Parts: sequence; C-alpha cells; structure tokens
Amino acid sequence: MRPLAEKRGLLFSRLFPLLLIPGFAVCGMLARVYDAQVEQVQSRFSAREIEAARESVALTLMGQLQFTAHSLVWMKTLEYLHNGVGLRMPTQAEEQKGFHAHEATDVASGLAHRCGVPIALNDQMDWRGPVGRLHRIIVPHMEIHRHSAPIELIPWYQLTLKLNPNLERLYVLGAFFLADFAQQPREALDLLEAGVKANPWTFEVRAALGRHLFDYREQLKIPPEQAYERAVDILGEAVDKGQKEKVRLEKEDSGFDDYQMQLFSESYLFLARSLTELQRYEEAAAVCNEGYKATGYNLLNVQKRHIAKLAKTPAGPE
Amino acid sequence: MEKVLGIAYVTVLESFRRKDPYVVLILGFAIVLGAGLFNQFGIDGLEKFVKDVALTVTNLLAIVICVVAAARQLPAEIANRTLYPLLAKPVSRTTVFFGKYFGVGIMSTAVVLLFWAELQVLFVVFGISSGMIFLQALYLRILSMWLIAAFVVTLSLFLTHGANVTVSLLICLAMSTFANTILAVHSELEGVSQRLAEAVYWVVPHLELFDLSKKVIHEWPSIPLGALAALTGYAAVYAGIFIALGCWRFRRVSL
Repeated sequence: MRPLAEKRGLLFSRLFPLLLIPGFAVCGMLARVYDAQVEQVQSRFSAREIEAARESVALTLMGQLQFTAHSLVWMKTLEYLHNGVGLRMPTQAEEQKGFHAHEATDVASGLAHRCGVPIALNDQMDWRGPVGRLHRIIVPHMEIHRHSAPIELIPWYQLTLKLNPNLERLYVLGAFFLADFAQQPREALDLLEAGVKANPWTFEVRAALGRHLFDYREQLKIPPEQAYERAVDILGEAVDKGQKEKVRLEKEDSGFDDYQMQLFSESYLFLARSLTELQRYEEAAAVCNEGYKATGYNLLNVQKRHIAKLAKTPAGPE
Repeated sequence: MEKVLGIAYVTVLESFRRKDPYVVLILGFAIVLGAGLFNQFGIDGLEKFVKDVALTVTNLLAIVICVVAAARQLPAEIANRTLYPLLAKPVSRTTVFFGKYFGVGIMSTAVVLLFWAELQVLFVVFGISSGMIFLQALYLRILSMWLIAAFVVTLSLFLTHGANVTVSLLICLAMSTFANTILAVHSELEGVSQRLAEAVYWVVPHLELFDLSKKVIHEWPSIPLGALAALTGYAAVYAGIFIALGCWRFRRVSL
C-alpha cells in the first residue's frame, strides 16, 4: 500500500499538465485584450528607434526567416497553379537545345509569370530511357502548358499573408479569386480591408477595394449611394497614393509594372464611374481628364463621352 | 521460414510494446487537426489543400517511423546482448536478419495502413473523393517501406545508430531533390563529371518514384498497371541487393 501523501503527489504530477490548459486560455485572452494597445505603442516609435531596429541583427534574421517562409508558400501556390507539375528554369545548355521557359498567357492579369520547364524531362531531353518514362508517369507532368482554376490558391495566399502581411499584390489577387471564382465577395471585402489596414501606404489594395465596392455592391447588400460614396473616398485615396508612388519610382529611374499600371488606370476609371453614378458629372469628367493625362487609358475617354451624354439628359442616368 | 516469421512476430510485438502504434495514432490525430486548420480560411472546395497537408504529413511520419524502427533492430539486439541467446538456438544469422527485416516491413506496412485508414476517414468527413490513384499511392507507399526497411537494416551494420538514422532520413526525404538536381545539371556537365553524375543517379535507390501523392492531391487519373509492376520489380531488385549485402555483412560481423 502506498502512503496517502505519495498517492496525492502521484495524482498531482499526473494532473499537473492539465493546469497548462487554463494557462494557455488566459494567455490567449490577454493577447486579445492587449492587441489594440500594442498597435498604439507601435505608432509611438521615433524615426531613430525604427532606424535602430532596422540595424538589429535579430530583426534582420527574423525578416529573412519571414521572407523565406513566404517564398516557400509562394512556390506552393505556383505548384497548385500548374496542377502539381514541378517546374524549374532551364539551364543554358537546355535552352540551346530548344528547351525554353515562356510567359504564361492564359492566367488572370496579376498572375503573369514566366513558366519554367517540367522537372521530369521530356522524351527528347531525357537520357534515362525507361526510368525517365516511369518518372513522367509517377510525377505530374505536362507536355502542353496548362493552368488550374485559381480557387485552390486562396488558402495559400491567406497563409502567405499571415506570414508576411505586407505583400500587397496577394491581397488584390486573393480578393479577386475569392469574389470572382469562389463567389465570396464579403470575404474578399474583409481581405481587402485587412490589406489596407496592414499597409496604410498602399494604392494597389485601395484600388482593388474601391473597384470591389463598385462591382459587388449588390451582393454585399450595401445601399447604392453608400457604396459609391465609399468607393469615391477609397479610390480618391488610391489615386493620390498612386501618384505619389509613381513619382517616387520615377525618381529612382523605375516605374510601375504592368499590373500596377492597370490598377492605377482603373483607380481613375472607377472613381469616375462612381462619381457618375452619384451624378457628380463635373468632378467625374475632371477625373477622366486627369486620369487620361496620367495614364493614357482609353476607357477614360469612353467614360468621358458617356458622362457628357448623361449630363445633357436632364433626368440623369436611367 | 517458420523461424523467420517467429522473429518477425517478436519484432512487431516489441514495436507494439514500445507503443509505436499509439504514437502513430496520436500523430494521425495531429494530422486531422492540422488539416482542420484550413477551416480558419472559411472557404469551400479546398479538397486539394486538405489532401496536401494530410498526405505530406502522413508520408513524412511513415518514413520516420520506418527508419527509426529499422535502424534500432540489430544494434539494439547486439548492445543488449539479447542476440546471443537467440543465436545459441538453431537459428542462423541470415534467419535473424530476415526475421528482423520482415518484422520491420510488417510493422511499417501496418503503420502506413493505419495512417491511410485515418486519411480515408478524414476524406469521408470532408466529402473528398480519393479514387483509384489513392489506392495505387497506398500500394507504392507500402512498397517503398519494404525498400527503406531493407536499406536501413543493412546500413545499421555499417554505421552507428545516429549516423544511420541521419543518413537514411536524408536519403529517404531528400532523394527527390537530389535526383532532380542531377537531372537539372546533367546537360551542363561534360565528360567525366557527366558520367559520374549518371553513375550516382543509377546507383542510389530512387524513392521519389514511389510517391504518387502529387497525383492524388491534384486529382490526376490512375497510372497504368505496367508502371506499378515495373516499380514492384524495381523495389524487389533494390531490396534484394540490400538484403544480400546485409546478410553478407551480418555473417562476418564479430559479436
């Protein structure tokens, strides 16, 4: 017979791990409570403190770790886009033999990428004979380059954004796939709003958010006037921040990439369209003029003609 | 054969007593929870994501369990001196080697079957179709376990336990990357270096050929039965070579 004290001690040592559960729960609650306060504290950092943090070895390493993690997830999204086919860039010798990488043409704009060659070599390049054929049977392999429906990319985008919330492009693409392919405009709206919150300087996410409010106002069940007013505010900010970004890039002898240019042009267009819906024709026409001057986007001229036609009609738009 | 099966039975029994299968079940539960993470995203129709998480973790854990179990068999028997009473009976060293090999093979097969049964339950719960390719992938995974068991049990007679586990895990888990690197750089190489790369490619066992997970995840059609037969032959040849090498070494090792 074991003494009672020993039995109690044994019982306690077995039950002790259970005490961790309420501990974890309390930690989780505290984290929630103090989340908002942490945000306030962040804004109190001085420029000198931020500079010191930038030079910190530990923070640099953490940043590299974050970058590596999101790069790995990004590679996973490309694997999904290619139906599991592993791709790599061809070597110089392979390119000389006509084994080339090429630009993807059948994907949504913003997903444009240079497609590599399959990891399992094709019949002409393969030196392994029957083992090569077996390899091509076992691993996903394609002779004709194809892309999958991007709905499967959504969770990977969301995971990537959890690892690095500053990837503006992923908010835009993720929201587009959520709204367009998964038919979930509410979730897309939440994602874009989170993107603006995490990246206050962004014009890309604002451009997408403004357009989303314009395009999906019915599904989002937002009254028209309210939706267009919100779109005008957000797209106005998008245009403003886009102009600043453009100037900054031009100073660095750089410029917008194709997708940024498209978003910038569409910011003007949807701002003009939202103003048109609100019957603020003069402002809309001014946005068209300014936008066309800044971007040379043809649809702005089309919109301007449409506005002129509506302005002549006393009753306004139908 | 009876003696071989007897030793194999004891090996499996020992694994159960060491609670290996329970570890499998707990890890399997962890997989279900891990795959359940996708619920956070609140999106329907993400079968591929669930399959990806579940199959990746399952394959990884099955390989780790097989390697760890295979690596400890003979060194543990020698270190604990339990091999001597066994060899005092009318049992040859070759019989002991085969018994241990079959034991690890059977245990690893059971582990894979347990994992995949859990996967099947997970797929049913989430309404995910698996199809014939899932069964083919299961068959190839079991086949690879027998090849890995032969490789690791043999290697345990050449390397220390720690080195064996490290080398075996590297070969099992990184073989795909290694083989793909040779394929990628092959065209850049010339002369002797190219021949050397080819020799290395042909000598090492290509465990990546037994991994159909990508096809299961991305819902590709099933593969021809001829390919399964070829891979069965491939595994049999390689396992045969490793077993022969292991038996030869075990007969000569001083106890």
